[in-house]
Amino acid sequence: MRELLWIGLLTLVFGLASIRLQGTVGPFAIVQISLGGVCLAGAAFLGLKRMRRRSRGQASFEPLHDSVLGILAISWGAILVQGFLVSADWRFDWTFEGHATLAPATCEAAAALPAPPSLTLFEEQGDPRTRRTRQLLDEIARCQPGIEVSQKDLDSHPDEADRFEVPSSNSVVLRSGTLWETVSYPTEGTLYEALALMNETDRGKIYFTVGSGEGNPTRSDDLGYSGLAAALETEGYQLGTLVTASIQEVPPDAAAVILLAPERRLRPEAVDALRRYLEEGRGSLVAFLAPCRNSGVETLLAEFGIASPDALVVDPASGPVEGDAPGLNPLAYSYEQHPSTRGLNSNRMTFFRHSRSFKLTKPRVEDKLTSPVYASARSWLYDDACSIGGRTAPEKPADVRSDYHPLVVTGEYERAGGETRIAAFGNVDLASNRYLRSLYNLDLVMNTVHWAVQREPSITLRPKTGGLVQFPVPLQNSMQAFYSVGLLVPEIILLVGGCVWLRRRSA
Amino acid sequence: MTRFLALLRKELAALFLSPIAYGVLTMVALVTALVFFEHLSLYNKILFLFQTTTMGGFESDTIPNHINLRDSVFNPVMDQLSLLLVIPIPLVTMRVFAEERARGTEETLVTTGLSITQIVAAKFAVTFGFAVLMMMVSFVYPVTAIAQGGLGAQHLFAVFLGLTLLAIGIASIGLACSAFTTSQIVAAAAAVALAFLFYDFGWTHAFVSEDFAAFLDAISLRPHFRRFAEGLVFVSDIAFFGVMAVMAFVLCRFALNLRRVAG
Repeated sequence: MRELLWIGLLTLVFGLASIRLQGTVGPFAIVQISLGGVCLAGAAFLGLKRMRRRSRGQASFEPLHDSVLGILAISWGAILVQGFLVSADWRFDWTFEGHATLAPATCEAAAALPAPPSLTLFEEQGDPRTRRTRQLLDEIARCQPGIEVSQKDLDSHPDEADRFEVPSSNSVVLRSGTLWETVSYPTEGTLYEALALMNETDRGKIYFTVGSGEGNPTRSDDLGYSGLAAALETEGYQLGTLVTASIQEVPPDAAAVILLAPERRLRPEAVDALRRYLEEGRGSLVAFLAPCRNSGVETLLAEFGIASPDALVVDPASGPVEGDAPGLNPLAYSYEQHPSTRGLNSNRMTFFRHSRSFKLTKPRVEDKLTSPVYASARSWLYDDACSIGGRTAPEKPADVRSDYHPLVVTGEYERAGGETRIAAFGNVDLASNRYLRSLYNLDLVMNTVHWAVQREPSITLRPKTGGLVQFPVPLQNSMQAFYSVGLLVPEIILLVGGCVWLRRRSA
Repeated sequence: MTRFLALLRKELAALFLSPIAYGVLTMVALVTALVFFEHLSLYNKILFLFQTTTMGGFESDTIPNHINLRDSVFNPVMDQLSLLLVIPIPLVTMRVFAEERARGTEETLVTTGLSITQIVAAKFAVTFGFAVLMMMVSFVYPVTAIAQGGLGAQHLFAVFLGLTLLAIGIASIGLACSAFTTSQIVAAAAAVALAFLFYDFGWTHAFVSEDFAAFLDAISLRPHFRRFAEGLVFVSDIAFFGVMAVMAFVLCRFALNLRRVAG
């Protein structure tokens, strides 16, 4: 019986392998499978006969029948349940901050394309990075039906690689109609940017003021603001500059003007031009201020009900960040309901490096002023902002009251020419290259700009970059640690095991 | 119920009074610690190289993203630990049914008034409990990396759940093998071979069609575990290991019944 079973299994495997490799059912396969089937049937017959002979007058076959039926029923049931769960695709993202879940912006950018995009991953065999990239692409494909994902070998498709300027393995080509983009370092962030660039949406022109010591939107080091400029361009804005030394009038095509904390006072003509621009309802202003800087913008904002006393927000709820004393760099987690803070909550913090605060007073009854972002309830204002160094935190005077102090404020004003919107940040560093992508700063800044130019549908949460720890674990020599503390657990188990065994032997 | 608890106690005693259990636990703890500290050491060295401006002129902000505690230490350690489980678990499961059969105590068990299902359930419960204990022991050191690695407690639990389910899956294979033989060596060898075979069919992807590769992935252990390691918990993955355990349970029950009927 065993010989028959062996011959049956072997011939069956060879027959199936032949079909698999040839792709057709040939005579060899037919003979092999037939022989295998006959042998297995024979083995089963002999086996049953033997069992009957042995059990005659002894045990009943009933439990065996139950077991066979049980195996069949449970196997089929399990396969069905498994199949259902695979198709249902129920899952939980338990990664830190939900890194494995796409940001809403990614799916929105894919959905906004004129045709569902196709995503092609170019790879070289054995490239370990492509597995994670493929997972990311599959995740994007889940956003909407019609998104196609494919993988192509670089060596087998040199023409396509040349056409789409694929630089190396693990690059992704995104195509939608006649549009295409190639991403050489595919992360969710870079794929989102490529999708956003393919959208070709013109959302208007934004002007940065220059010439009075403002932050530089073309400077690409940590102190520059090129990251902000790039993010605005990615999301469909055209950029321009306004030289404050020569400005007479804000250009009519300006959807918004951004002021990055001028260090010097603006010329009165420049302030007048901005005032007229706002009073006539021709556009919006996004002003980033900083403690100990008085450029004249503060006075202009005060005319619109946004007073910003030159005082530093000290928030004892925030620990020491970036080497500064605790409290000087508020981590904001208190948000009001406002379009600019949509999606932000107490777990999605924003980081302000030295900030001033605001006091709001409506110039007209119908104006709407709000404070979407606050420091914590323990925060207080330190008046001598210019004297603060950063290494030591100021002492809180007994007569100063702690309160929620606004770090960002917004205003909506109905004026003759239309609606004017103003947003003011108490700090400019949060938009710098160094801090723009920290925590949820980028989302707050970009969503505030979208709100200011009345593009609320563009407000979203963007993919996060980085966030993983890259510092050495404080072990001078890890292997030395293994030879000492690392051996502790195995030693304890061995000790217990040895004692148990010795006791048992002596018992 | 009393009889069932008595059987559970007997199985626990049989497991923890044998040196094999302690030997296996020691081996797992030792190898995990060795692999973990080796990766940690390598990670520190790479980071040191990148952060030393005199050696290549790199600055700290030029460290590639993939060099971090999660990708350079935790994930590779978990991957190697998952492969390591293929050997020690069959060493524990080999004796569960085969020893009873070789000693002839199987019939005695059946005469205690417990049903076959209860006997199999008791043996499965003790073996799976040991698998959980083994995972807890192996998790001691990687947890220290997580405490500093910003991975999050939920992700850590996902990995622990995945490893435990993988251990249960391998233990299921081992128990099924043990139920069909009288030799512990044969049971262990068959379980190791089957667990290795079903661990990962990734090597076949180069010469099988995409559909067949997807099918092979669906029945292999590692692809289901890897998603837990990445912090993603799919209900279908939990069900996969659950189905393995249920099928092994039914097979063991069948093996015991077959023995009773066929002799």
